[in-house]
Amino acid sequence: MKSDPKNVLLKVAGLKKHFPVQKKGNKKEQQVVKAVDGVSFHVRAGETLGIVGESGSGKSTVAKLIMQLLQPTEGEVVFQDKDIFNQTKKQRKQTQKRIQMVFQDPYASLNPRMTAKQIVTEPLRIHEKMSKEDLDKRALELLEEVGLGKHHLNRYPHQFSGGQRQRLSIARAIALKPNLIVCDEAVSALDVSIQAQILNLLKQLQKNYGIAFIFIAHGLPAVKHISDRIAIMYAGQIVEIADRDVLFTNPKHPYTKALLDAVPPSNPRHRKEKTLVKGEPPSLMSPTRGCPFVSRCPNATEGCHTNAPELLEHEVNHHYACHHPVQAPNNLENIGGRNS
Amino acid sequence: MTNNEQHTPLLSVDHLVTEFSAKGNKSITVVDDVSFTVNPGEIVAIVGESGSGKSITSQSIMGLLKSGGSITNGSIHYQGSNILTLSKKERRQLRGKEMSMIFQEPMSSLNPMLRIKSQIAEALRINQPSKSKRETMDNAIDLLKQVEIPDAEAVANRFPHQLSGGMRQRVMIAIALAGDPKLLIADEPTTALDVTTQAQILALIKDLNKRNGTGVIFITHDLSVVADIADRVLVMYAGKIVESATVYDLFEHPQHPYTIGLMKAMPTLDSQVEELEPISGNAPNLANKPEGCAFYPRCPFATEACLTAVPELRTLEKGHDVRCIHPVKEGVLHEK
Repeated sequence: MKSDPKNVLLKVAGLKKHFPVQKKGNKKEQQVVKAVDGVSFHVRAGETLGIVGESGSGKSTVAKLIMQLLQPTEGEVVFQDKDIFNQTKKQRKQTQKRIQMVFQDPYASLNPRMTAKQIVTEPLRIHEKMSKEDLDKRALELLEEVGLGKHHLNRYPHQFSGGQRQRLSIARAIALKPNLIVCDEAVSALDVSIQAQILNLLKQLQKNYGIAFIFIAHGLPAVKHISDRIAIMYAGQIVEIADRDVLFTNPKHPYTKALLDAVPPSNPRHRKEKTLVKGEPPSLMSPTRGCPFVSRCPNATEGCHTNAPELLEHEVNHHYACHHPVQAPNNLENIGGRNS
Repeated sequence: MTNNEQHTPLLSVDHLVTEFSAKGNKSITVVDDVSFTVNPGEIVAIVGESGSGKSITSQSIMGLLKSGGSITNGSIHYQGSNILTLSKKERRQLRGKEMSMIFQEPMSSLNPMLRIKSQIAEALRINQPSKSKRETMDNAIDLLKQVEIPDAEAVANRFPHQLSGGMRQRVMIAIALAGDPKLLIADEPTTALDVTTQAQILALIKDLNKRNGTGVIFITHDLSVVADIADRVLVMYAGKIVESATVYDLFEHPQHPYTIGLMKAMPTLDSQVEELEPISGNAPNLANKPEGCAFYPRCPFATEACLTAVPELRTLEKGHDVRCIHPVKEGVLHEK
């Protein structure tokens, strides 16, 4: 299914999540960790939005907020034109049906005491009234959908390999025919050959059922492979968001450029002397007035220390938050889009 | 490469077999007839997926096999002498001074109760017990500077939990370097790190290798890390080396169907494909390996012969070995 540009499925606006922490030895003074600090984006029906960021960038917290596993400090998440944090219990249950999640570690997210059949039918038992026969039938359908078979029905998670377990998580996620699946590092723990199987499976399911994905990962190649659009997060904020090919050929934010440069080459002939970005992300506790990337940025000037750049649409569908964007397009020889 | 004085390699592993046995069960061969050499100043990458035996190979070299594991055949020569015949004590003296190791998860390798400086000092004292406390501390801070830790004096006084993952891995490398080893074994040292941190650590290891001529065995599952850092590559599958070549040769002319499969399955930034080509199926259970070629059930090029014939590792051309009866070069490969 081709994504419809008008058909916005999920809209996140000004989303913030601040976690309070007690300062040592000073019980009165409270500090906050700004895990997510003003994030806005949208996902269209049937498309894949990749969210890339390093540890602590807030990408998993965004996922938990969308899943309603956390309450936001500020901002809203609108799913199918309804604010998900402002609805009745009954409406909420409906929304939960429509948004599902796949986690990084399938072993930790599957109940070890449930069989494959029980696992994939659990969402159906909670949300739908189905006869035992229908449940059995659906369980088999779901397993076959993800490349497993009849003989897997009564097995327990420990009897599956890592890749098969992730297939099982996916079968559970599609059981209620959701509109959106949030994949949080869903392939990061898998071996290369298995990772490719799961990526292809996700693409296939999207094609067949028009499911939209939010694909959260730190590995750029996998994100590039699966996403239509990509958002780059840094220190709780989105610093750049663009169509996949634009982002890889013409990154504007210096952090995006640094991330792309840091990806090891796919062939030893492309080894290059890289200008590595120094240092590490800032503490999320210390209040910053300026740009979060300022301490590591090669383009930073005085103004960047005091004046935080806003995420603005500088070119059509290409948003970035930077006062001094990267000028030269990225090395086109090595990194070409699919149309080049 | 700085191998001009002598032709003895730094490390030479010959026909290594490592088995694991649990009570009452048949023992499992995890490393099966593995042979390779590492020369001074050379970076040899061992690439493979989970269960390929790459980590057990390195633990066999270091003498760090967990209980139940034992080397049942083969030899490991370090600078010409067989280290498998050494006593436990002699073996311990090799570790740190001659060869040292860094691991994937630096947090579980560091002592959470000790300050960074004490942990580095511990490694220094083992190698130079005669030094004064003052000198040892100075050395510790020098090592932290060597691994490019900013504000080394302050970091030396911190505890592991106060450092980021990248910093912890730098501390691990500093500890590994304390004895000035000639061989460094790095077991997935960047797998748990972020992309920009990974690039920094890879650059650091490359730099140490160039500056000090340290031989490096770099274990990873990630072919692009191999492309970035290795001089030579060993590809392992189900306990065996299935292909070994220089890094350029391997990426330009891969010969084993498994190597080719890995390359096709790996998403890259410069690939233009819409669909990845995964390797079908799963890696074999080591307790129940197929007869014939271990890769046979997943191989798109397999023939009748592969079902029974156990392929030998053979040299196709100088420096390029492959364990396959139908390597690409011989041009008989046809996808099923």
